[in-house]
Amino acid sequence: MSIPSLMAAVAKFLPLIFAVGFLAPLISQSLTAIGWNVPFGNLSFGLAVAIGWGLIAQFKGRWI
Amino acid sequence: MTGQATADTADLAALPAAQLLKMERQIARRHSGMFPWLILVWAFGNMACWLALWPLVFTGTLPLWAAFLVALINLSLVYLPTHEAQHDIIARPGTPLRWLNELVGHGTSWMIIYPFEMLRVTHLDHHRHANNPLLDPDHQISAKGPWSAIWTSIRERQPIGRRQQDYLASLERAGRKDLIALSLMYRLAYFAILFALAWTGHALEAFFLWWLPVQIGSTYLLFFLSWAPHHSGAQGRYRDTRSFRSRLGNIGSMGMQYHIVHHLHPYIPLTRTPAAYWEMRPILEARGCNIAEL
Repeated sequence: MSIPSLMAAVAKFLPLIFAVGFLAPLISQSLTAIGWNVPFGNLSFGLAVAIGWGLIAQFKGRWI
Repeated sequence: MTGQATADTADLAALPAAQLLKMERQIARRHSGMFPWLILVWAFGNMACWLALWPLVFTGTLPLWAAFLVALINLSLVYLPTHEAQHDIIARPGTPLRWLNELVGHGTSWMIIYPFEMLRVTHLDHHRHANNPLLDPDHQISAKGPWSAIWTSIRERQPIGRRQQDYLASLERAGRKDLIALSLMYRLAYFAILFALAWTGHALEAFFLWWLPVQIGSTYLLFFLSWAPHHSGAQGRYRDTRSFRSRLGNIGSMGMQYHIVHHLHPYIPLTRTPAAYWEMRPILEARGCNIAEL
């Protein structure tokens, strides 16, 4: 696979990649910053919310 | 308006279009050609200030909330110096300081995650086709009122929003597919930095110092650069841009109250557009421009 086609493939999944790469740790660290500790851990919670939201954004094409 | 000004406008309206254009250009020339020192200080001072926020926050010297407010200002101010460079206002091609013009553009546009050349190509397309629903790459921001404009701006920046599609189409029309790949590389590099910061425990810093200020700054910028001066929807050299009075004043609206002068004579530096506007106003009125608010 050439670099341009790899980049194009990555671009197709940007919402989901953004969710896992940024949104999940952001949610987790936000919870920790305000002193909340949710069941199964803040990171697991962050991943669950981010992947769910990311999937919606991936298929609907919009975050809000 | 004074009786004298009304008489002036009536006298001017009787002049042939070629004569009005000549007078307009004489005024424009008087307000152009000077070296825009302020823009240079603005471009690099703004970038230095924003870069300094990161170590200040990481070392606990500055609280994140305060740094966020500064970053919000910094990232809202990035675009205008690059805009001057897009129009070769700092130095024209072939002049000794041309490198400085390009340095301002390339050296600062990365902060808002756009390659400078991509901004230049699409912005010049906006000038050529202002308010054309099919060809103006900034037309997607058109909306009936200010709140609707803000919502439209956010909506059209979503993954399936028109903004991305219109910019891609503009680059394809210009035969610059290379800039599509470069824009994607900028975006991927930005995400890689955000991800690295987030997964090393600095997600909040990445969010409040970069991601959120870019989003708010883009909305602010699109409101004043794209919507406020162009929302009449009219087309044509003397119709597609209007002057307006902003509640935030001239500085709060980033000088865009006088954007009509920029569209007519894009080589006038931003800091000189108010003076050029007031001198040119009777001519613009005689031309039938939309300048009633200011």
